[in-house]
Amino acid sequence: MSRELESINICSFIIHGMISIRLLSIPRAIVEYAENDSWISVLIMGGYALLIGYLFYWLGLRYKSLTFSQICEKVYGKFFGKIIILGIAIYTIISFSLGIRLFTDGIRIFLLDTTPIIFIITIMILACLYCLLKGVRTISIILDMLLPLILAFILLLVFLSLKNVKFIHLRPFFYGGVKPILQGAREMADPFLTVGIIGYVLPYFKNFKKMKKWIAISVSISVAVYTIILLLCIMAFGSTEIKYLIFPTITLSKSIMLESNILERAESLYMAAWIPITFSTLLLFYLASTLNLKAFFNTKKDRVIIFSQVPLFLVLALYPDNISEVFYLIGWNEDLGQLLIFLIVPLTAMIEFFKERRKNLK
Amino acid sequence: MILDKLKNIFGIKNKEQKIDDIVSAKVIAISKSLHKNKNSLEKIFSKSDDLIYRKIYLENSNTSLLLVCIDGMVERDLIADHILTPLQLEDNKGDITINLEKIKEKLITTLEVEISKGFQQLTRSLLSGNTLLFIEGYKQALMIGTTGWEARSIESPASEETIGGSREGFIESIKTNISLIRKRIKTPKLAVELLEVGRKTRTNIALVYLKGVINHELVGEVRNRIEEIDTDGIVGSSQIEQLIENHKWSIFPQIMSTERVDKTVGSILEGRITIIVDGTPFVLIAPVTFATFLNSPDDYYERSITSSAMRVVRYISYVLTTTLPALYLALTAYHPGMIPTPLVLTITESRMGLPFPTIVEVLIMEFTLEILTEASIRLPRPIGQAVSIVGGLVIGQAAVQAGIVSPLIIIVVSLTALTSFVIPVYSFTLSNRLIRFPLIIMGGLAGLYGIFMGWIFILIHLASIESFGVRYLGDFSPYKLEHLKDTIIKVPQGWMTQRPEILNVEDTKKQDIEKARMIVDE
Repeated sequence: MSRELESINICSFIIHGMISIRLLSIPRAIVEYAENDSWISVLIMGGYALLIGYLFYWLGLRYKSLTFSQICEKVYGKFFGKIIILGIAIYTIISFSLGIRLFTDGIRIFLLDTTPIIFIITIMILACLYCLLKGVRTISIILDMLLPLILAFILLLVFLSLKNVKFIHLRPFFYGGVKPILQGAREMADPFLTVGIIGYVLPYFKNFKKMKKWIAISVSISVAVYTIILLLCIMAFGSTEIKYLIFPTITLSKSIMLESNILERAESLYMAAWIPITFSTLLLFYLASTLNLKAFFNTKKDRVIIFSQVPLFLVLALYPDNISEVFYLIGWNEDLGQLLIFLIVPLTAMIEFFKERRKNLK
Repeated sequence: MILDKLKNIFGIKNKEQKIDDIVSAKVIAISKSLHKNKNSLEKIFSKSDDLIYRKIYLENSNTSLLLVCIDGMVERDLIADHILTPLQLEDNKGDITINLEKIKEKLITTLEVEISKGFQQLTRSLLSGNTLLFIEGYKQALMIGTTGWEARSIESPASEETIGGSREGFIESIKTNISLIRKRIKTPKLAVELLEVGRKTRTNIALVYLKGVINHELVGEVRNRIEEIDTDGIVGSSQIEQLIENHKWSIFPQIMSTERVDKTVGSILEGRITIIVDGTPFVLIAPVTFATFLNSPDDYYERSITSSAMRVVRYISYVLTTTLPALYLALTAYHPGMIPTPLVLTITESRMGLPFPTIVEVLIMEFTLEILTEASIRLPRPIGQAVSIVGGLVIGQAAVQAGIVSPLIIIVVSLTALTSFVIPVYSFTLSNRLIRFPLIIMGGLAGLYGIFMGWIFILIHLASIESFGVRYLGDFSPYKLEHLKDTIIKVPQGWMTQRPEILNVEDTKKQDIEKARMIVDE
């Protein structure tokens, strides 16, 4: 592993990880529970994501040349370590496959209604494969190049949507108490778990100066994006209508009517803007999955691991029959993600903390 | 004779036959006899009728000399005034002795005189335009600097015109080119390392850089790569470029080639290395990044706000020249809903009755454009211009009237051509012209998705390549404010206090910010 990255590079890794294709559908998932208080759920989970981010960083600092999966093996021992790594492998591979499938369904709805799914999926997998083969420094440059464009697109969406919002849709606050808000927050665990990319890329960093600051800034930007998009969706449609929308965020852009008549249908353009967003998130899942599998098989053969995952991704992405099935499987995978974010990561940090304390006492 | 025939049958060559190369000249030693020396040279330079042998006999000192030079490569007046005349005048003084040391130290009045003991060195010297002087009875010879051949005068660089910049461009002579740089950078820290490449051509190459500023590892790397070149000959600097660059199969240039002296001087001052190749006016600059190819020397002669605006125009033009035809294709074929209704109606109306699908139309017109561009370059300037006009206006108009393509395609292709000329570096323009075609195909296959994915593939490639250890997209990652000062925009001169960090220079400070501020305050 060559240490080529500077601490500021962590920003694009985190933001690209956290702002994913799920941003298109997540408003519906949270609103199911938290209704018009969903934005509070995002803020709560955002705070927790920051904590998790710091835990990954803290663990990474203790084992500077190891990825989170390798750290798990050190902390839990070989047997339990491998079980956790297997869990991470299932989570990352399924997340990649279902992420690409969800995106493909979106593309077919808004951009290419007759193009075969396999064609769309294969091109995306090939792009991720090509980028991964070029190494982490290349990935970092790509993420840095795409980030300003992506944020600019999101900002444009926000500004154009402002005309359609009605503050009345946000009321009443805390209508159902704390429980629905916390249930909604749980839905955010899956997209925010990608903050865990910190645990996989830290070994590639040559300096850690101001790293904490960059982690805080990146998590805050991502949380702000989710919160604002959710607020806009709720204010534009009201919580009841959102429940019936497959991709509320895209529908939000659909509601934008440009008076100047420059663009007839903005939603197609926004769907196109999600292409780089999806690519970057999938790329990070692929990277984490590769590094995780390398730890599982205890091998240094990058290429074998990278290529061997391709058929798996393809089969799993083509497995669901329709978009409802995709959401069902995503829900199942989310449970695994929640197990990782709420149990495994804090537990690993706690064990390591007590191990360290015991060593200091001795 | 019989022995020679036998040797030929078994592939054994005579010793004389082996002397066909400078390296082989090493085996011959200088003789005390002028006749033998002449014979040796005649063998080395067999069938070289442009060699001049001038035998001189100095009567009073009873000394025989042999002067050898190559016609056209020497300055004849220099030989007459500084070699022949002083020798004759000295001889006319009466009964004196003339020896090798005396000729070298006192009689010959040119700047460069050296003693050589071997024919290898003599041959190289002669081929470089020097004159050889053999003296009867000496196993040594003199190599006298008399180089002087016809050279083009310094002119304005034809391929890189600017409005505000210097009018001096490099020429084919390495010495003149070095002097053009020295004239502008008057410091002993300006290093000029001379190398020789090509077994047959023995082309002189100069590495020019600023000591104490440049990353010395970069100098070592460039020197090593040039020294490793093992080829018969070098005709132009682009050959050196291709032999030493990192990614041979990439369509993007990784070394900048320029005719401009100001651009080269600016690059040296930034901490880059320049490679000057004898016989070509194109000087190589390394390392370079993507952003450097979109910078024009004019940016530094104009005010920062206007320069920045022009740079933004260049970046937008870059996107348009590579993507516009693909975008037109994607929008009309896959996403007509994104285009305003009146425009869709106009496009549909213009396409009525056309025989080909949009992708074929786009490819036909793009291909025609490439033919026109290529033809106008090859033809003499006045005819070239005529061909462009004929091609652009007449063929375009005729194609529309004949019902082969729609008028909108002509607009799209013309705009693509126009924006391609905004890119300041020709080799970079070529790569952009090439990536237009895969993007058209991607746009034709999968609309906007195809274009976006095509660009992602191009970006990955750009992000992965490097020029002498510097990443091609290194200006944009990691995020640093300092990087932005001279990339997409150009900040005022006083703000550019540091040399580009990505070059890993030894001396990062370009100018004193405090002093710059004081000047502003005053």
